[in-house]
Amino acid sequence: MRILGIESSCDDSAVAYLEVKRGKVARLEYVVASQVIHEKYGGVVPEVAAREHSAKIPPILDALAEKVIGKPDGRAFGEIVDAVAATAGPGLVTSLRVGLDTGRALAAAWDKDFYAINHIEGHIYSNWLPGEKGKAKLDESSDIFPAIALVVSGGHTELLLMKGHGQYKLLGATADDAAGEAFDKSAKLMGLGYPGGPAISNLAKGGDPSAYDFPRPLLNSDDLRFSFSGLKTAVRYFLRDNEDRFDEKKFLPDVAASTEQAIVDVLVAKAVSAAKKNGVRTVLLAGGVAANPKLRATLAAELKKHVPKVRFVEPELVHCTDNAGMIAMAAYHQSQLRKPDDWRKIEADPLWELGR
Amino acid sequence: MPITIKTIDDMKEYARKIAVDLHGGDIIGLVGELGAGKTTFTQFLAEALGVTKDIKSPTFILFREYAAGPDLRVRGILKLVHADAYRIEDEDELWSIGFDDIITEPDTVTVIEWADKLPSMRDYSTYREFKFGFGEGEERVISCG
Repeated sequence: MRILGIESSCDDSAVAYLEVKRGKVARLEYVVASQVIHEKYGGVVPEVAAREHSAKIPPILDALAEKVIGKPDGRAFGEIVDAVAATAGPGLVTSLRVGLDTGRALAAAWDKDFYAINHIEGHIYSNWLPGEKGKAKLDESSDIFPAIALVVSGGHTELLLMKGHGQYKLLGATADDAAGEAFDKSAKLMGLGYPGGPAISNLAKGGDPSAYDFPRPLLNSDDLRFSFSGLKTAVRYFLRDNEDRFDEKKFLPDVAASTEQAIVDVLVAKAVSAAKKNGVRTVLLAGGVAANPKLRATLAAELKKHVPKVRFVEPELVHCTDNAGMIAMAAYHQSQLRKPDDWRKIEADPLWELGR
Repeated sequence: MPITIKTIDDMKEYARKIAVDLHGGDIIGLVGELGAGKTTFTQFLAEALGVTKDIKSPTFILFREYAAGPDLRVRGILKLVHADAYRIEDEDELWSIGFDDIITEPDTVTVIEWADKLPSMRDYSTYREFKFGFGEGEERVISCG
């Protein structure tokens, strides 16, 4: 099956071509246009984002066609595609509409199947995508269920139980800020750039993660909920009360490392607890924050320690951030489970919750 | 007259007091730096309006809508809209996606964080602004007007 995937839920415009043969990835090509413009603003600007998606999606579709069939010819590209998939939510409604409407229009014009895909489900399926070299860690025959998926990004912090492909139960989510947002806002308080995750992570390399004890809200609560909004307040007070130490060489790296540790500790503890409680075979990590090396290493080590039989799968670094390969992969698995969507009836759903 | 908030219970009490006087159509703007207590205030305000869901940060998707409690109907409140202008650079971005329609619904109470990024809000007769600042230690100071 050959699928064109389109993703535009936030600030990256992305398209991908995925070919699946006998349950394995036979070919994956993708083009991403990141909106560098947002670095200036310290975040996503909705109207700018939508305008940028409108401007970028047509040329990256051409670039994708050129990669796949050797020429930027939409008609010829349409002839080799079996289905079109696009993200329908959750996300910024103005951004979502651009990619979704492009996908619907192509499916209609080409007379192909159409799949509206949940962005979070897409992130989970990034674990089935191969890296630049080599094979994917998972394919259709992988026996991984039941599984826990920890999805962490700028807009999301969710723990989901998967009993099979396309079957989700939301176990817990953040009660306020997302983990990636905690990184972004803490980074802003420290005077670092956007996105905050990589900025803090880089600075943290030279710091001591146990230097300062920042709060780990709900760490020992019985449930699987998260809360990160108190962390930025704690970081703010700490910086205010230690203003005179900014010039010390180790100070900011120590603050960054301690902040990162606080966020990672909570994510890991809840994921391990979810794996234990549900007796799962696999834990899947996904989302932009899944690229964080500290989170990857700590989660792997803690799972090994507490639930040694559980397999830990993390996405290739290149597929952690928003991309369209994951949308095409989720669509492939949806296509094995259900009928295509009617493109006439699909609308963007900015609050689409998976597993509720 | 600025009010000093010393504890989390003070914040809850303050939010509850504000909530009691709210009616459908009211718009509340919150102004203050990161960590000043805007979200905490909103969570308590929502609780007082009978919202049962978690009030998650709307930073990434601009606004979220919640159903108000059934006993709020007598005051004409069916919904709470929690908006966040943190990422807004130019307020026209919000107007162009139909924000005006959402916040002027007569059965809706709207709370807007980072409202100082939306200068036009002051033109709405139903708009009130609260400024959140830091006091001594962990105190917050809130002023209205």
